[in-house]
Amino acid sequence: MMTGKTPYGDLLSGLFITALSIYIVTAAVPWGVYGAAGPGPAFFPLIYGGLMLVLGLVLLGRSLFGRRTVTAAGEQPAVDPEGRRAAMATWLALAASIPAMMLLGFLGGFFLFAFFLIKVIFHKPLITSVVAAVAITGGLYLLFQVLLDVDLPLGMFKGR
Amino acid sequence: MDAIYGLMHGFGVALMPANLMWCFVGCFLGTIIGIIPGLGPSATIAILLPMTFNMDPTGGIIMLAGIYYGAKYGGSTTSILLKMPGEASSVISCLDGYEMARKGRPGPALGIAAISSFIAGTVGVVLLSFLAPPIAAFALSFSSPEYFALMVMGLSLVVLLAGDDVLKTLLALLVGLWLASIGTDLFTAQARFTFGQSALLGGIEFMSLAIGVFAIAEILLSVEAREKVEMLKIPKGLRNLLPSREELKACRFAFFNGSVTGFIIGVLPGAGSTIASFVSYGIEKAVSRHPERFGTGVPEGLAAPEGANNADTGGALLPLLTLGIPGGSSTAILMSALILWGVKPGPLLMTQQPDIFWGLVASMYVGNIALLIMNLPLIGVFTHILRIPLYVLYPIILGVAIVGAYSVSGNMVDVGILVGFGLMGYGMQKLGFPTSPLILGFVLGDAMERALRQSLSMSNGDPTILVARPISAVLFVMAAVILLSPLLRRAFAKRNLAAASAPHS
Repeated sequence: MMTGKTPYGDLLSGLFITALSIYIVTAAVPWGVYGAAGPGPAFFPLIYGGLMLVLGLVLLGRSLFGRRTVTAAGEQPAVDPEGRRAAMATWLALAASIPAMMLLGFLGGFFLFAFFLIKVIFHKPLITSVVAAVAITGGLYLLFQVLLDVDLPLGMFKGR
Repeated sequence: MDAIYGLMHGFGVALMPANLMWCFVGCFLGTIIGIIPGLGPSATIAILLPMTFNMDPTGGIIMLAGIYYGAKYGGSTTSILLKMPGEASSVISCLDGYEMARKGRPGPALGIAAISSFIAGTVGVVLLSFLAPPIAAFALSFSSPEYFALMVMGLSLVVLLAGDDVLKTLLALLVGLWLASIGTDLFTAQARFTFGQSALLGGIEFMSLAIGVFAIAEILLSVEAREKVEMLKIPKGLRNLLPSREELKACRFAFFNGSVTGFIIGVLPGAGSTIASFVSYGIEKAVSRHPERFGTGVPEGLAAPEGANNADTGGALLPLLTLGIPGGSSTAILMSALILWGVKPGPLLMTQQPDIFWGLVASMYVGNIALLIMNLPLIGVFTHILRIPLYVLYPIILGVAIVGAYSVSGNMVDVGILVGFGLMGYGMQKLGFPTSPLILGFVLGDAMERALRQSLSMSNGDPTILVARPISAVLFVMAAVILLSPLLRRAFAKRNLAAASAPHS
């Protein structure tokens, strides 16, 4: 049995690009396209924004009306929901480490992030996770803050 | 002072034990840090810059230059073994370098990268020493229309090379141009696309974008795949790192192409090693008898961009040292270091402070030899840094990425932007958008806009200025040929197919 594979990715990309290009064009117009001194701040954004709008619509059209990829059932690339969840969890932990570092400083915030990554994402035993997270965080602190004198994020309580 | 006497004086300075040591230390540190994915020459120089503050200017600039080209050598290692480019200029090396390694030739791939880097790096320094005046004069004759045309040609090559889907490649490029526009307009101080955030007035930091889109996205993809993205094995022994005679023969033109293209493009401010590597790859592919094999692991597809990436160093230092104009972010950091030491780069540097100028130039000859030694027999030692288990390596890379983004401005907003771009790079790869055009668009966006607006201001709005000057006209014609080449190739292929399938009379 053959199935038509709808390119939802292209549809979403097309919608995003079209919306972004409309934003670029509408935001740029009031800045002035051409003045007495030559091209204004809107000149270049209008060129690439306009081109982006046209190409975004082409992508949208292609995803809706273009020739669809036809694959035999079972030949579609396998989606691994668990892997995707792991990637998203890693990203969310990375994003959450920012407020954590702003609160606890680099040592506290990054330790929590490294521990989460090793324990939850890589499924390492608790002791291994704690030891590795402490070693990595300490090593980075030693390398950058102590040896290279590169400032690391400072916490709310003025501690790194 | 004539070049020969200058070089003799320079070698006297560079071979002093202290300066020789700083040259080796710089090359070593540059290679070590440059080998970590996501940390390119600019980041490496920026991170290690504070170490040189208390040094004398000659030793300090020799060490920083060593870090600069050491990081370039190191950047290729991750491209070849992990398919993780150390910086934007190593992106193109992934295409054939990684494929070559994957097909069981990781040693020769590293060997070709090192040999090509050495040859082109040395040619770049020779050209810097001897051909500086005429090349500088040629670059000085470039005005805004020529720069704009050059960048259009470079980006045309990107569209041709960077992805299978021209539409998505172009869109990625345009998004890169938009990201470059974020911040304050240089001509009118108008805030653009800042969403009311004062942190965005200075624009988006390149570090946050490049490390996010490449390193963080790559780690997210690896975590999702849950594959053992083990580094490809490097055979032991120098003999196994040396490319075969056939491979070296195939790279003959690539060595020359990389050296010359890299140097010339390096001289032009704003063009930089990324465009040098892309252009040299494009030239290599264009003159090849088997262009269809590019991207499958052909040695010349690795040698040309690696050579260009390193020859660019000599070219990029030319406008910095003789005119006081940095050509890219790395040379801009070098210039800020010189100014911190009270040294003013420019036309008088060569005569007023010959120790610094010629000492630096001579140290680059020494540094290239040191790097060849480090990158051939010692590459296995360096790559031990990549043998660390993934559950340790990934937090380290992410930690270095956070520190790299934070250290540029000391602002957590840049870390937030880095994390955002990590997700964007991941999404782009999942949706089939190539990421290198985005980076290229971002790197060239500012310079491209400036060149276009200056050109039109020069001509009172007459756009024919862009094609009325011979150099820019030639570059635009080349860009048009590049962009039309897939259509022409398809038309020729269709005609040949039709001719082949036609019944013979």
